[in-house]
Amino acid sequence: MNAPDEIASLIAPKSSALQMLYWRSEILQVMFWLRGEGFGDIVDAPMVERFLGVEARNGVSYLDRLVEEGYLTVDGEWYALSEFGLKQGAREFADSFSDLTKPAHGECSDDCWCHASVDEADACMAHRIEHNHAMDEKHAPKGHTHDGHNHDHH
Amino acid sequence: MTDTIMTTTSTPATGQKHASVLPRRFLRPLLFLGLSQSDRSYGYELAEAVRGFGLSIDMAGVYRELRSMEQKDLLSSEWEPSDNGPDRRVYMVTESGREALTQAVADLRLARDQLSAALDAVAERAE
Repeated sequence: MNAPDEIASLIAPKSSALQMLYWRSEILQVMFWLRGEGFGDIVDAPMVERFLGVEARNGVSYLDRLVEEGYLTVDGEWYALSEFGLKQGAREFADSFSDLTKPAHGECSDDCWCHASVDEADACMAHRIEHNHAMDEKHAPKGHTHDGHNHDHH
Repeated sequence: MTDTIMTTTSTPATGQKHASVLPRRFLRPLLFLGLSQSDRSYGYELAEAVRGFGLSIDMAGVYRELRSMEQKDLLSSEWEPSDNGPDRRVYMVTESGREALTQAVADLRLARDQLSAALDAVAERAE
């Protein structure tokens, strides 16, 4: 298995613009998937964390951004697909996101149990978050915050 | 909604809880078994198949594993339009996935045989 310490920051695009496209696609795909499977079309940040591995506090910022862009509506902690999100998301999945949604490298190996269970995924995520926080503190200039940083690798 | 999705050990129809009898590392081979039952499979069907094989898993785990398998070209998927409901993601085994499926079945048989042999040996010693 690849060294997890080196994997954490590789999976999502590095630029903030591409990161937003990437997470927009990932979040909308989960919501479409849940909707298709009959579980409705609302999510909260902890669900985004469990399905996508993105830390909940970062997931909230992505969800809020999707609200600003009109893809989602928000009611308290719950986010729902808007009519625009339904139409636009469905159309976009067919073509433009196909490459962005396939991470090229940096994911865990086949043997990593984070793919197979929520418990292992949580443990794997905790490890990555701990590592990334340590790296942030090591490299961040004074006054740096974690805002906008991506801690996930799935 | 959250409870419905995140409950890992409940049988949806009865709400009864049952213990998982298989380690979670069997998820991928069991998903392959589920996929082998039909040319095109939906996520919920696959989750139910895996539960039926004795592995407790929630939808998040299934989603992540299906994505992982798709990224490794073991599966392909597409959105299937529906006239009377939302579009559904439908999964199909790829050519390389068929090879992996064959290997998964062989691995499961080997695991079964080894466990069976171990249990037989223990039973013989106990007699």
